[in-house]
Amino acid sequence: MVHFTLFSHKGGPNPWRPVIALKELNLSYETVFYEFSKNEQKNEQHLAYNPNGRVPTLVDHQNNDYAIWESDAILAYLTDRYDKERKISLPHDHPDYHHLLQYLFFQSSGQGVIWGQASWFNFYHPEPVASAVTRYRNEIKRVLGVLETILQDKDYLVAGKYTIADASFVNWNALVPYIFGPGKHEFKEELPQLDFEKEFPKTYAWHQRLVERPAVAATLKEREQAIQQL
Amino acid sequence: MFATKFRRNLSPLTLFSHKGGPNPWRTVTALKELNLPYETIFHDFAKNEQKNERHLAYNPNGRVPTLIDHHNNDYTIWESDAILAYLTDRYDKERKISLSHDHPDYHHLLQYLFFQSSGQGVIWGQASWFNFYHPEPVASAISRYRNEIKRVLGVLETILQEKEYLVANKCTIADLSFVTWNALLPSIFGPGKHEFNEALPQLDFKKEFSKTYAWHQRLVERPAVAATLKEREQVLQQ
Repeated sequence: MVHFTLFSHKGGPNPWRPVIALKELNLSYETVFYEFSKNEQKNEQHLAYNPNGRVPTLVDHQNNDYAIWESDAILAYLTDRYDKERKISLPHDHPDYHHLLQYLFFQSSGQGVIWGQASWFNFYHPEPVASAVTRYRNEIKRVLGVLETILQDKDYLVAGKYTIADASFVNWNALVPYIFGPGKHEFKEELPQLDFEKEFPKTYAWHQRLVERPAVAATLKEREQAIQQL
Repeated sequence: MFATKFRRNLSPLTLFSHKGGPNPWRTVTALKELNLPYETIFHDFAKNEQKNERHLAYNPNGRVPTLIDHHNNDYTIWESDAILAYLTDRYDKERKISLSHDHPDYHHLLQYLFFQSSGQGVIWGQASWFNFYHPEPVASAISRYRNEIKRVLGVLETILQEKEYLVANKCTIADLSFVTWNALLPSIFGPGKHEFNEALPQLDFKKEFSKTYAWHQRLVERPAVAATLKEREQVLQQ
């Protein structure tokens, strides 16, 4: 039997976040993809594991079917249990351990949800609300600016090395061109635009550094392939 | 020119905060639970003080809370849930309101902190934004976020059917992390900046989510939490 089952969605960025860690650590997993248009993620089997009914949810078959949700908590779980060499993480007594958590929470509340709202109002909201698209795009740019400041004189967020803190930002940042692109509605108003490389060069370089890692590249490729099977 | 080194004060901890915002007060609940002395510097957001040079040097995100631990070489940390983890890992050796890292539920505690961080705080915050601050009335946005609040309260209701606390059968920072935004639910669902023709989602917290409501009451009755909410009320009246 495979080590893990990952409940996922082909397109959504969040469930692909744990895949990066699974690949970095060479852990075997089977993916169950939910079709959101059929509300499969709210089925009884999944809700028993994850009452929030969102993805990712991870089940560890080598730990009594331990079930965990929230992608950043999953990253912490996988590395605490299976990254004993601390290749992509920090031990709990490392002076920067809580800074690693700080960046995971910054990703969780400051990046993921915000990029998600920008995406929602661009692609899914039933009516055009330029002021909402503007609000969230401006916040994306503000956060990219914060990352730009942080990355001025370092290559990675904590401890001078790549960790799950950096990895956690990749999947949503990969969608930035799409989020700022044309969506469901025509807007008369001018909306904020983004030239990622030009406006935030250090952040862009960091993002490129991450997507060139074999495990990250393989993750993004696996997602592309899964989407094409839709 | 600001002094780059923080002026010495008597407290081992300095908390950069805001009088009204729920997030910095989240940190205060843990400080009080652990009887840790702290000094608070309130930033006036109307004057954009949280973006001043001194604060940005500590926290490039320029938001609150930011915590400085003067007993740990002025260790600086931001993101309220990371601060809760830092304070309890360092100062809650008896694990009165937290779990040790080798506890089987440690990662479930993190799970709930991330659920609070991305699923509660930001969502309650968007509902609040479109009710009180957005320049134009957008009923569909308010509806979106109020409905999501109710969905999340429903998730908590399911989780709390058979238990009094989120993890390990005791109050931990996982539970505490939800309190300050939940205390603002009546305000969030109340009248705001705009008049709306459309019917907006309403909430009777106690009636619709009775277990969650009871859990919330259990938390606000804890002396440290009650004292936190009272301190916030007092500074708001100043």
